Amino acid sequence: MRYKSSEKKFNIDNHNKTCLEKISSSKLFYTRDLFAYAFVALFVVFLIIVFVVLPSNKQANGFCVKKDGQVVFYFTNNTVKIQNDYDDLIETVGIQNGVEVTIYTDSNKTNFNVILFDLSNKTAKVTKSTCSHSKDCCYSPAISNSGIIYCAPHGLSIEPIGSGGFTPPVTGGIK
Amino acid sequence: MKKNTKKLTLSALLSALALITFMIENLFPPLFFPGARMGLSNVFILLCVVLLGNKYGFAVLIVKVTLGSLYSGNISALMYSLPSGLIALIIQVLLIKYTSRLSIIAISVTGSVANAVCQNAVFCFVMKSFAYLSYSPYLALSGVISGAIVGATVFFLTKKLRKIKFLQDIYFT
Repeated sequence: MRYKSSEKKFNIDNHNKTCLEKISSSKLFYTRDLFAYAFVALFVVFLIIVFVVLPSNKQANGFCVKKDGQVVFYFTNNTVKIQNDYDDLIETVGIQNGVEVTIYTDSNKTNFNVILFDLSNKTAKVTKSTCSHSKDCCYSPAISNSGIIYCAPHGLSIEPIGSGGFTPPVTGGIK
Repeated sequence: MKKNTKKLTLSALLSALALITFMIENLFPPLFFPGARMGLSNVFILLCVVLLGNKYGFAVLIVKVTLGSLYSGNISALMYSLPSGLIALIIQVLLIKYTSRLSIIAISVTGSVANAVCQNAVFCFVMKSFAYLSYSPYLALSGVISGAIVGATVFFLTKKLRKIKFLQDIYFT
């Protein structure tokens, strides 16, 4: 059944009709949109300067790997320094221009993350993980002087050390 | 069917569509950066605000975020997805209500960027580490792209949907 304009006994929902009419009769672009886009662009530039450009000037001297907020090991001066409690859960393999560290996140050694420390580029990157379907940590870009890689399902984080004055304690051996 | 029942039915349908889209999107790897998604499920939330009103829009958002976190097995995501989603939707609702001559795409882009940055900020607060803020510029940029796509989709859907009888019944009863 179609309603005719002559039928007057309609109880029109003013707010929603106004909103629907407003959007459906609007255009794809208005001149005022430029103010919104300019505001967004300035905001993004501000974020880039504060969180990308300024931190990249600081020099990191290694990487720290934490699990659930606790330091597991850190990689500095081409060595892996492991906390005592995690000694059995970490395997280190030397490869060309780097070190590949496998950290098991459970005692059965079924779940793991593989972290590649690139010595030539001084970067860290997660190359393999059994965390989740989407594997966000593997898609995280390599970090160097700034940034962080976080694996939410395993509670694992990798962050640069030295640039922010952070020096984790070490109670374990050196590989 | 009464008007309120029709509204409830339509909002339930939009909630289901938002949830399905969210779950399908979760199966794919992130776009360029961790946490960056297209956010296509937001099409149905914004559409609900436009078609049915603010309270239905907020209801669809809460249903999507809560059930989405439960079904994806990542309940901790609720802590930072819900506040950021609410803030973004409040911004969008205010822009729709108080600004004239601002396109739905600009409104969607603003809300999407706010969502991305708020989500990252809440995540930093929960994790007690500001290092995660280094992702915020990239998430904001992905928010611009996803916001534009969501806004354009809502724009074209609104043009088509207003001609459907079921919707006319909601407005003219």
